[in-house]
Amino acid sequence: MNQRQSDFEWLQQFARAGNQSAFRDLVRRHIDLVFATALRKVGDPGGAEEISQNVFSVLARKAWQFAPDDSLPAWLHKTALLESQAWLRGEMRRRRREQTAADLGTTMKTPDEQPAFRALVPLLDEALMSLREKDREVLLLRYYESQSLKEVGTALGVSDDTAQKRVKTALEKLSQFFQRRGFKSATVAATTAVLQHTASSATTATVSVVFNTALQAAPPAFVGIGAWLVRFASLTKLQTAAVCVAVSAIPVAWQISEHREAEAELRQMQNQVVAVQNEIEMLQTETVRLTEVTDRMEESLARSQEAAERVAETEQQFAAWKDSVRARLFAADYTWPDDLPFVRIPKAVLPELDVYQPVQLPGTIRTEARELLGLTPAEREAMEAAAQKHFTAMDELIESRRFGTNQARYTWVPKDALAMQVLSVPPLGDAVAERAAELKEAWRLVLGEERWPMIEAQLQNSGTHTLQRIFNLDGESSGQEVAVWLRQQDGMLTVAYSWGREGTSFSTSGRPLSLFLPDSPSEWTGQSNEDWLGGYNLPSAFTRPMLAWIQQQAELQLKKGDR
Amino acid sequence: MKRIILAILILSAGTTVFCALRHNAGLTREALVEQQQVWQSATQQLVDVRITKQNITEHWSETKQRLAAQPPLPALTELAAKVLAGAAPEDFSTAEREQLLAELGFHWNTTGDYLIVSKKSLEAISFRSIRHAALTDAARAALAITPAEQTALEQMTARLEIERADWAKAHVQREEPSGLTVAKYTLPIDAALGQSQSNSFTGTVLATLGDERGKLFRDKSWGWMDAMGMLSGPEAAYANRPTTLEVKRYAADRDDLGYTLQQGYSMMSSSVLPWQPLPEAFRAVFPGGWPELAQREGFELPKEFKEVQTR
Repeated sequence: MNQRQSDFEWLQQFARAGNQSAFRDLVRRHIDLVFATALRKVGDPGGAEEISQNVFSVLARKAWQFAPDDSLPAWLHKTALLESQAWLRGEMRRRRREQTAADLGTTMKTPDEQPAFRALVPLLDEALMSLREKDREVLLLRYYESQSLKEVGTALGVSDDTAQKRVKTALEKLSQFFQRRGFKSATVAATTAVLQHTASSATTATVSVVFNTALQAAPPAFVGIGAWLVRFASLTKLQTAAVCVAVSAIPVAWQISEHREAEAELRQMQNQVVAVQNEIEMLQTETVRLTEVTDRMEESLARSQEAAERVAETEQQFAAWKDSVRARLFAADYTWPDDLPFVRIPKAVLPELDVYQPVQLPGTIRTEARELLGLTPAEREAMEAAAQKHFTAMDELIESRRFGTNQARYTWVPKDALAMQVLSVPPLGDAVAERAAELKEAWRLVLGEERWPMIEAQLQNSGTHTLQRIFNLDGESSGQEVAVWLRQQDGMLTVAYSWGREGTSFSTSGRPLSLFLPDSPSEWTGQSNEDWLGGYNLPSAFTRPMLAWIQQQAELQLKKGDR
Repeated sequence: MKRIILAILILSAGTTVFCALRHNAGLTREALVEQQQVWQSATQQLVDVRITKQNITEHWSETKQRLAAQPPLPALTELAAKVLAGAAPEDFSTAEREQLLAELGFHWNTTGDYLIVSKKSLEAISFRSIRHAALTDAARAALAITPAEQTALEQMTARLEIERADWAKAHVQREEPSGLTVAKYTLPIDAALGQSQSNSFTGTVLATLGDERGKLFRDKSWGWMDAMGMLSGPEAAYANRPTTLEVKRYAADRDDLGYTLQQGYSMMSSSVLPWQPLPEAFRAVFPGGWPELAQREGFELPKEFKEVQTR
């Protein structure tokens, strides 16, 4: 343990436990330093003793404030200077009152035999105070506490050599101070001499007086928070800083944690708010869309309901209209209904009524025939299916037996015909009978006994426009033919055709051949070429080659004429 | 002293930092509280919006179901509306007429002694309206001609037939039979007479039956008018040609006969048979039909006539 540590230890024992012995040791160790400093400043041993008392009284009061790294000699030197100045100010005021200022000058005189360093003495304490604390401490220990270099080294916790070097360095710095103040002769040796000659030793009595006086000024031993403060005061600067940082860090860290936690919560809350707002926005958008859709649906519903009401009203009125129509059409005093689209016909006169070619290729029953037979849609469908089947079969039969000839047997061809083609078919035999039986059976089944006779007559009657001819039912026993020819008529080439079988034939009026040219309009007197050829419902096995021949002749005759 | 200053400095700095952090934390907490209030408000709004959406969704679903439950409007409505709007008979299409017939329930098995047909179909249905100057049953029934109307019309047709018969007898031209031809007669064109009779006939018919039935009656009288020579002449649709009837044997060694009637550009050929009446145009000249003509020209009628006579 070096001197600094022992100084600190003694101060602690005194401050904490009131150990007077420790304080007495401190006073003994440093009284010379204090006394010499005071004596040098005031030049009065009594004043120096008073100042020493004051310095150690202050030390006794402030003992708790010292830290292990504090230099007690340096502090005592500085305090002694401050106390000396205070004492001098008080003394000067007193003496000024007593007008003894002149005597003071003699008091401060330096002995004549020491002229070389006499001028340096007034500046010595200023010079010491200009040094760094460790340099000042070295010099104070070496010269004012009269310690050997070994003791100085021990006090500072360094080796003898190091202590010597420090002393030397401190002396050089002190010397340099004096030289800077104009004392060129202030060498290290002179400086050393100043230090040696300004050192003084206090008497044992002085030590006792100072000790007792200081004890009186000392506060009682510290307990509780006082003890804690003493302990705190006993920390080094680094420890103090560490303790303060630690003390400060805890609440700061806590606040940082609090702040971060709050920020995290804030961010989380902000995210939740954004999420909720987004959901609100989405829901509002969806709600608006649904509202619009619903509004449209309600409008549609309202319109639909209005329409349904109108329909119901219309149906009611329509039902009334139907009742009225039925009543009028079946009234006993029936008259021609000018405002109705329907009339009534007694079934009794139906045999006198006729429909021109009631069935048309490929098997369609004319509207007027359907109405005259009073057909339901199902009946019509069944009859037309049977008719189509028959036409297809007959067409295939005629196609297979048809042949061309240049002699018309059943048809009338004008003598002045320029060109002609005759297509002939021999009697088709039993195949026709089978087809006819099938058709008749199917129709009879649909029509029933009441209506069947109306159709049966048409199927049996020969003639050019009867069902017998249209369905080719007489093809069983009789051959048939078509003749188509060209003829000059009213100054133009015309084409006409004739159909015939034994005992019956018909022919058409002439039609301009030019209508059958590819680019010419086929309409003439409101009739197309196809209607003209199909007007008699001849089998397509006849009309197809007829049309081909006519078109060929149109190309041949009319193009030849152009050329 | 230095340690105290150091401690004070460090503690002051720590306190400053602590206060600053505490202040910031306080601000953050305040912001958090504000955000919590915003969140609470937004959450409440969200609840309200969800309730609103739930309500509107239920309403939408209900409306959708109601809409889906709406029965489809019958297609008949358009036709019914047309009928109720008083559309004229000719304004209905074929399909509409058939639909109306079905709606009225008119078909063979539902109308008893009568049949209901459309006026449009009646135009296309052919029947003789006049036979030997008298209205046929078909014409009277189909056109609902009253007895008074019938009387007026028949008086007119009788007068015109007498006029035509007198003229035909006076102007018919006969050619001598030759080859297979056993008889050939021609009625020349008398455009003035035809026009006069046509005008008289049409005028009386329209005046008696009105426009609709009058036109139908005239159309159904086309064969009679043609036979009476009313459709020839310069303004007629047919060419201005005489009407010729030629009766020929199919072969020299056969007794069956055929005839050809040439009217304008139209020619009709058929066998001479008892059930095939003498063409109307020549009935004025030969009221007795084929037998009278055969007797006049001195040829034998086919055996079918004898068989009919025997029965």
